[in-house]
Amino acid sequence: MLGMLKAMRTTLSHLPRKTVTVQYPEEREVLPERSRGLFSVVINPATDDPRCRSCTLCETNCPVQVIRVNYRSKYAVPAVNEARIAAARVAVQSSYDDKLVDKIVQEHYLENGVGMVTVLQEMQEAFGFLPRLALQQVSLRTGLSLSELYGLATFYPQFRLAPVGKYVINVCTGAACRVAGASLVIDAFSEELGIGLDETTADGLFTLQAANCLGACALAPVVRVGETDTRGRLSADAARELVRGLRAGEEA
Amino acid sequence: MHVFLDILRAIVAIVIAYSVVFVAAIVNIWFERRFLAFMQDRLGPNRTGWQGVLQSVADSFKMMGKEDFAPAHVDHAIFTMAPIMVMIGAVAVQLVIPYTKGWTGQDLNIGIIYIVAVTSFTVLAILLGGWASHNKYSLVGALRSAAQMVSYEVPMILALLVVAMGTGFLSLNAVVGAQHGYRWFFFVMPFTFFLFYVASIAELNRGPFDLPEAESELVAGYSTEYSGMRFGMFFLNEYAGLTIMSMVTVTLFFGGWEGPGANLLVVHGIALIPFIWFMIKVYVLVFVLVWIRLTIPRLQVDQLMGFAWKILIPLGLLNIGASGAIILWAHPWRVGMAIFQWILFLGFIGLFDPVMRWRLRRLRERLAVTA
Repeated sequence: MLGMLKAMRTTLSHLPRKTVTVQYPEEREVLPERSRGLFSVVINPATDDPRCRSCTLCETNCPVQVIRVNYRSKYAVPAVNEARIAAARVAVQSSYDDKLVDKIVQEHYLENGVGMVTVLQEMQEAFGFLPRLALQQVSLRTGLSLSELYGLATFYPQFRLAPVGKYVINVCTGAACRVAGASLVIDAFSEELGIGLDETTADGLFTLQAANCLGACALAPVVRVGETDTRGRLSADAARELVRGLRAGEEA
Repeated sequence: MHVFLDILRAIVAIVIAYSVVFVAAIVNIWFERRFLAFMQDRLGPNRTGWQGVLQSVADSFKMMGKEDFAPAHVDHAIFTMAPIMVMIGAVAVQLVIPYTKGWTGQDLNIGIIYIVAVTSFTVLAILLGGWASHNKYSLVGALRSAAQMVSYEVPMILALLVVAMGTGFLSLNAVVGAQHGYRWFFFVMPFTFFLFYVASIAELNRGPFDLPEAESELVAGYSTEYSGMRFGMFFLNEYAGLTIMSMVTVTLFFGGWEGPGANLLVVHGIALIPFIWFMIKVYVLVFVLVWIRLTIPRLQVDQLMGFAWKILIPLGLLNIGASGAIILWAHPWRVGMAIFQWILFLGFIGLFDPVMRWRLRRLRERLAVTA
């Protein structure tokens, strides 16, 4: 009975309380000053293109964490065949010419590491990249350890340790491009190509790289294909279309 | 001349009684919906008329506008009679209730027995309704309802007898007179009041004893086959019952019409201000009924019967014996009665939970052994 009395006290205490009902047409709920209602993506009706690049910056910066960017590409994601990529890389690396390595070392290497950068440049020019076997041979000829050579080769972004494709796709990851969704463009490329950053497709056509800055912030996000073809304001889907276009041109 | 006045008085009493039932039902439905809503932090109906007072008027017009439908398999005569009969209790009780100083429909000298007698008509009507419906759910619901009402009539009568003993008469005017000077029976015999009040809630088929037609859980019991205004009669009776039962309670335990300024406004021997006091007390009690309904969850059927037969009736018998002895031998009996009843009342309130918990624990232990 005491419990019931306690319960009755609780219900009675709600009698004078303010009701939660808002009588809609006459009364409107007073929203917080900074309330912006429901978020939605604005789509340009002329081009059917969302202004939103799905950069998820709003999601990470929202102070009350009410935004969820739910990016859905209109393309299916191809499966990544890692075994195939690995086999292709071995094939390329094993096709190096040890005579050529010896010749480069004799021509450009002096001693104590002097001239080593030139040797690596020449080798990259000859092979398109720095094969592991070639670096081992340089190590044997010069007496420098392999780790020192790797240290040098990985210090300069210019040197590549894997073969590059015919089309080197550089995605700018400078501040402006990053803000404008460069990471999503990179994701789109790597999904479409089936490779990660600094990797090359098995058919040797495409290499995906992240560039520090391409100096075209006004066009962010920017992608450069090869040395000359620069594309701006690229969405993730546009990136996929770019790859498909290049592939189609290659097959034709 | 005298006969003519008596007839006029009878007609006025009947008209008042019927009007009170309908008006009270309509007011109570609105009252309950509004206060339930407030206690749930809602608003409730507030659109039709000022603060929604006309809502239940509109609802009853809607109900009257519905087709007067009866399923083909029912016993038509009884099916029609039951909703009419269900009103008898609520109307007839008002004959003996002193609304105010100088107005009682008929001051019967067996008023308390009369109340018990006529309120049983509701059970009869419910049984008839369930039987005439030719539907197993209706019949079972009616029997369930009848079982509940018959069970709780016993503690109710046990409580009424204590009041009768305290008054020395069975007339309700005498009961009010015995409480004159704010010696309300509620203060003198709270446990008796408690018995009566619990029993009257059960008689009204209201929460927490609203099993016969537990809307959220069961087929609607005896009113399953009823629709339109026939159902409306059951519904109106149920809500009019709130006021009628509160009127009886006020008369028996809260000094009836007693209040300050009783002789200020007297028209033809009928004092008007006490009527206001009477209605205020009645609606305080109606509010308590609404409040209880909102708060306390519905009982199980075994708990319902167990509460009547195992707790209320033994305690009622103890109460009636001890109170009788006190009235006979204590002097002044009101003091002795008040001490005894308050101890019983507070003891019951305080010990109910621990005893129930202890019983539950013992039951569980026993079950654990057999399992």
